[in-house]
Amino acid sequence: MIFSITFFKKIFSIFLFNKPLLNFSKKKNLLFAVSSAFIDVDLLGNVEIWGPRDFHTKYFTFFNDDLTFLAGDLFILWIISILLIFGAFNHVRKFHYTVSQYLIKLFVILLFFLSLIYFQFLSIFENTFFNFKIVLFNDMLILDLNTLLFRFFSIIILFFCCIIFFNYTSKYFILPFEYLIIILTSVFGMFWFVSSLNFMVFFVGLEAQALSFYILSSIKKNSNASAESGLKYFVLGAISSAFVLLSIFYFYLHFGTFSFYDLNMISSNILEYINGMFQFSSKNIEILYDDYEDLTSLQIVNLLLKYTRMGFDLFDPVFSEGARHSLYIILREEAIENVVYLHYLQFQIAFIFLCTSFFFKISAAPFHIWSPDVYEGAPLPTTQIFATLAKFAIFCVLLRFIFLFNFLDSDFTLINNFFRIVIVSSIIVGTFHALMEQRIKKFLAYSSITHTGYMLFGFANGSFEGILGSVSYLIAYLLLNCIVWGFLLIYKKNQKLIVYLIDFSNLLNKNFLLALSFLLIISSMAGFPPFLFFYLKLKIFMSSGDDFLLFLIIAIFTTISAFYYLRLIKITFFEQQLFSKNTGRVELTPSLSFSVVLGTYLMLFLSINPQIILDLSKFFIISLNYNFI
Amino acid sequence: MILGTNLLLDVLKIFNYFKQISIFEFASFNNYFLFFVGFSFLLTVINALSILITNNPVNAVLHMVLCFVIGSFFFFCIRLDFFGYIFLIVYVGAIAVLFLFIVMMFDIKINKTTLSFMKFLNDYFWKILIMVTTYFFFIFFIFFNFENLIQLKSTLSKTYPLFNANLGEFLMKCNKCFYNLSVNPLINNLESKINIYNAPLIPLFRFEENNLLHYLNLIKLYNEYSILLILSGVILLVGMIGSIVLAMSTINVNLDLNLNYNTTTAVRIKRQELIQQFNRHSKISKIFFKKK
Repeated sequence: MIFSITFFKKIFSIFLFNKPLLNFSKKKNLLFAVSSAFIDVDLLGNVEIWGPRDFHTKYFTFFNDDLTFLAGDLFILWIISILLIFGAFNHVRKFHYTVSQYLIKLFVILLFFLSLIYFQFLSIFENTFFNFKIVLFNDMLILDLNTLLFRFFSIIILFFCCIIFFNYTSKYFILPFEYLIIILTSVFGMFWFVSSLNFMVFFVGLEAQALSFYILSSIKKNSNASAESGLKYFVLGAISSAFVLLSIFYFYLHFGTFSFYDLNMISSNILEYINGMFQFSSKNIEILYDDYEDLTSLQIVNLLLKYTRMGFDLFDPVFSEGARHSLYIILREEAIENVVYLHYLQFQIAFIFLCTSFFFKISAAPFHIWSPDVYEGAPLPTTQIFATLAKFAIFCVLLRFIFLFNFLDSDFTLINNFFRIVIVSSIIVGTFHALMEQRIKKFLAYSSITHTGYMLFGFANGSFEGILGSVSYLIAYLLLNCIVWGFLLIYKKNQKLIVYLIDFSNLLNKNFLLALSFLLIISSMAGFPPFLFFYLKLKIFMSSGDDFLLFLIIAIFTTISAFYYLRLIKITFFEQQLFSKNTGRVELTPSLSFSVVLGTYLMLFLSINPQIILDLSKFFIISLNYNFI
Repeated sequence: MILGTNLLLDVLKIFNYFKQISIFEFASFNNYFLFFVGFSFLLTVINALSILITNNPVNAVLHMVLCFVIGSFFFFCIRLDFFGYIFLIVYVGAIAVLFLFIVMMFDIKINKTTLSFMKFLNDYFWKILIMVTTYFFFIFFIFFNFENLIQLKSTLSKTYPLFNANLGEFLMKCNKCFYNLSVNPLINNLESKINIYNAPLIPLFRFEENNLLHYLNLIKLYNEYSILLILSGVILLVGMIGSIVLAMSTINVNLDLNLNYNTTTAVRIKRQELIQQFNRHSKISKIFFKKK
């Protein structure tokens, strides 16, 4: 009853004023819904949910309040322990030192249970119309619709990874059973740094993910290439984590907090001051100027020096005391301005340091150098994980930061320019390297670099539509990358992976349907008109707005990038069989064919109706927007 | 002076505290309590037997350590914290670890007589696996109080049954079954049963604010930043597993891709032969210099 009344009030408020009545970002307590239900309702119709933790904060109770909401995440730890125990008993006895097929099946079943748990949580969000935020463990973690959808999708991606892993270990190579456990630990780290509200949890989660990735890349001990790739990834990843630490240091130095909510408040205040909308209420000043007096004294000394250089002498007896006082006030205001401007610069610089580490991990262009070598050297399931899960997680974190720091339609010019440089360079570098490339894995790596350029293109302008387009592009990219890596496992008889592009030659005569699905997927990756990526690219380009130069550069490079995708299609269909190694009919295993068929069908369905992806990306974004009820 | 008086007061408070309250304050005869005590009894018996049975002395020492740990847990239960700490620090921390080091120093040859229990485990491996996983699956969900979730759903939802997944309610029923089965046999009254049926779950451990550890600001890691503790534990696990995986070498793994799974398997571990290393003659070390 209460809920329905509040809902109607909300709807009316939105219709009448075209705007929410209260800004949630200003009122901190309204956001913090704590575990067990105790609901208060305001006159304006805002629902507050209080938990027992707020009434008596003395008790920290295991198994009761906060951990219920983390049941899914803790279930992962449980799966890890189970796999450790049974893998340790099982691997030596029957098989070689590999993961046994039974264990993979058990892993998949447990993942299914995990997805069920997250589905249960999603049902709660469904009932609250997606505006529900749960903050856990003294404002350390947040559970949004965004984070839950991330978890759900990442598990679906893991299913696809399992299919490739299953085929890879059964026919081609040896991998130990610890591989599955390390995947799970990386996923655990991802889940917690995506849903973090504090820099401490964020950094530790990021490290958990990165450490497990170093092991995943160097786990194939037979080949020198994988060891090399692991070492390379380790060194460069360490540098990127150093950048993260540097940015956290800057944030703490200038603003004195680890929590994201305080940084949200600070950024909003800075922007308001710069736009001339700042109101000097007591709360705002407390947040901005905790050490107000110390800073002003320093600033005033500097300004005095400046004015004396200009020719004024304040200590001249010509100035009366009143004039001196008025000058002091003027200087004080100028000092405040200077402080705010300094904050404005420092905030942007710190965020740029954070972004560099992100761009390291999603392999955007000036920081892309590790990615082709690591993709080439690492075993195939890990390359798929690098291409899908790692990028997905870090894009989610980037989205959260962009919404937290009021990046949308803002005046953070430094960050905007940094993003633009990264986008243009990544698209140029990706296209030109892929033109010359002969190896399929490196080829896909360079194509993924260009794709990250397109995905970041939405962020460049900072408009809502652009971000929506980029998120939808991300989802489509994930869908295609789940399938594409499976094509390297085609050849069954020769017990060999596909290494070069030429190995796809004459696939048309070997298996017609496979070649057709390959054509569909590659042409959609290129962005030819009837397929999915065309619409999404169009959506992103339309959001560019006034940036005609950026639009022009990218429009040229999309046409160039169409060339090498066309070359791949030419090889599969029209190239004569140069090397007579691979003869006879190609047949897929049932699991691989399942993944390929499902992926191509989904791709075709979504290219007919791309609105579904756009709606899904809206759900991703809605819960991130803190100024929206 | 002020510092000194403060410190004295602190110490006095701590001593007073030791008299009054224990750190793990149990709810009196909770179901969890009974479950844990019973389970740990079983564990002690198993560990004590396995000290005698195992051939490898390292494993025996490890089982002994586990026995001591569970013993210290019992002391905590009976509100004898000091003894519990001493058990942990002295027996586990000092003596048992010393045993372990000494045992690992010797080159002991193990008799390769397999136990019948291990054979049983090998034969019925997957059946045991399924049984244990199902058991622990339900145990896992019994610990989580899904009552809060269901309350939230019932208060917030008004006829919007698109995703009406009833997994939570099902698990709640499982919880209730568990209560009915594990009611304290000393209490047979109807009222008490009803009370237990409808009672809110009482937590196992209560960290109070008057606690000793809280007073020393040591409990913050376990209270406010408990998430970081869990995450760092995961990172340590990754480091351990990763180092084992990357360092342990395997025989019969060739670059040939045609593998037969029937080949015999073995795991090679590099053994440090101390006697040879210490008694190495200088001529052997000159080998490196000869190859110029």
